[in-house]
Amino acid sequence: MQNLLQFLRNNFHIFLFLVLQIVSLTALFRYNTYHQSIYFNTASSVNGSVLGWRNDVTSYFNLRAQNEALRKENITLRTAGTENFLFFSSDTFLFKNREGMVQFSYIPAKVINNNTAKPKNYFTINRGTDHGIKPGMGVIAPTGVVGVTTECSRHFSVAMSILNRDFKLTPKINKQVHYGNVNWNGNDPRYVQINRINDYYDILDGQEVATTSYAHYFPTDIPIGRVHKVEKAGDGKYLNIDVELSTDMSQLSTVYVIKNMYKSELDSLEQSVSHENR
Amino acid sequence: MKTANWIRLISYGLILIPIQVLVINNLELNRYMFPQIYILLLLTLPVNIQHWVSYLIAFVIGFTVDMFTYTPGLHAFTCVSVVFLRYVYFNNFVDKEWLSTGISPDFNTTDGIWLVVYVSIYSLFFHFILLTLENFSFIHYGITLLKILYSSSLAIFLILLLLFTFRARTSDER
Repeated sequence: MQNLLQFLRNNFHIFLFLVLQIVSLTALFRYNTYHQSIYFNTASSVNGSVLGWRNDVTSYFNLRAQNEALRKENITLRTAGTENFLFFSSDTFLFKNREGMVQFSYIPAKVINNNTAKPKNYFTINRGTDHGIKPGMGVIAPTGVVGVTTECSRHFSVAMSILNRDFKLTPKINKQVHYGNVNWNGNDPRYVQINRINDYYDILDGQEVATTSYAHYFPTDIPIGRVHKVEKAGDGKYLNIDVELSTDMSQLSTVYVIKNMYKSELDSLEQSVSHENR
Repeated sequence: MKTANWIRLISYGLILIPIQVLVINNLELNRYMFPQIYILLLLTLPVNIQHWVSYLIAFVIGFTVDMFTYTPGLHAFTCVSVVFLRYVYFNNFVDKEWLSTGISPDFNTTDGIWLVVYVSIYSLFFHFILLTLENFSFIHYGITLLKILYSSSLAIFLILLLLFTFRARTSDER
């Protein structure tokens, strides 16, 4: 103890020197915008490349799962596919090479930032207005629905995740359309909820939940998940359903943004009707 | 540090720091000349001053200048560094007997040649640290080096001129 005090006393000026230098540097980086910006730019570019390296390594770990998902998707695409077309009557010959017109096209993208821990989650993808993405387009992973784009810059877009309390979607359960909303209660990122479904429907565990094209974001029959648990509520008049998501939202990587060629046309048509009814 | 030294330091400071921040910093001689003459205050501290006192003085002086240049921390850091270098020099390369005389280096008390070299080296160090830190990037470092060279040359000239003026006055009084 005596020695320590002696040591401190002998080297007091060195400690004072270091303290004063640290105070100066802190002030320099804290209060000077130029130094601050250089510091943050350097820090974020280092951060960015470190995160990039991490992604280079960790993306190998789920290659098998990714591969599996893509293979399944390929099979679906090979066997089905007609739901992407808007059919015209057979006497239309304007479009000679096909009997229909493409209504939905897919823009591949990568998720570069993702969140599942908050009550309102968003994720960022590496495609923006330069690639034809606008706010209000559906986003799907190979395994199912994951969100809707909300903000776009030139090269990036932010999408509202299905794990967001503001996210709403009309579901199809067991191939039947139900007038309820798929909505997340903010608790478990593996399950979303469908509340207040009429109880005279026969809904069982394990039935498929998929999209309808009602909101014009998604084509029909894109999987959302499977019924996990059915509960009666409101004196047994309603059913509250837990849906197990088919997509692991914490492992988002490859996604597709869905462009509906007729969205503006459909929206303006529906709006004109609602204006007339007012 | 004696009372006389404190009085001298404070009175010089009250003259030099306003000249520095109100006049010299606003002179735009050219793109390369930003002389900092207030380091005269640090260079003429008594040679046997306690180190921790000199650090505190340097910090206060630096921060005062920073307040006027809107660069908190920049001058404070540089001043403390320069005083540290001064301490390293005195502690290792200078005769201990000379140190114990407790003089303040100027033309009255020290050899003229030694003083010119002393002021030149510390002015160069000061401007090197200050301008490198201010620029904070090694892109276009050539320009920064020119700035260091020109600024410190002018500062050396002005500081020696000031020191010489004070000497002349005191010798007249005798």
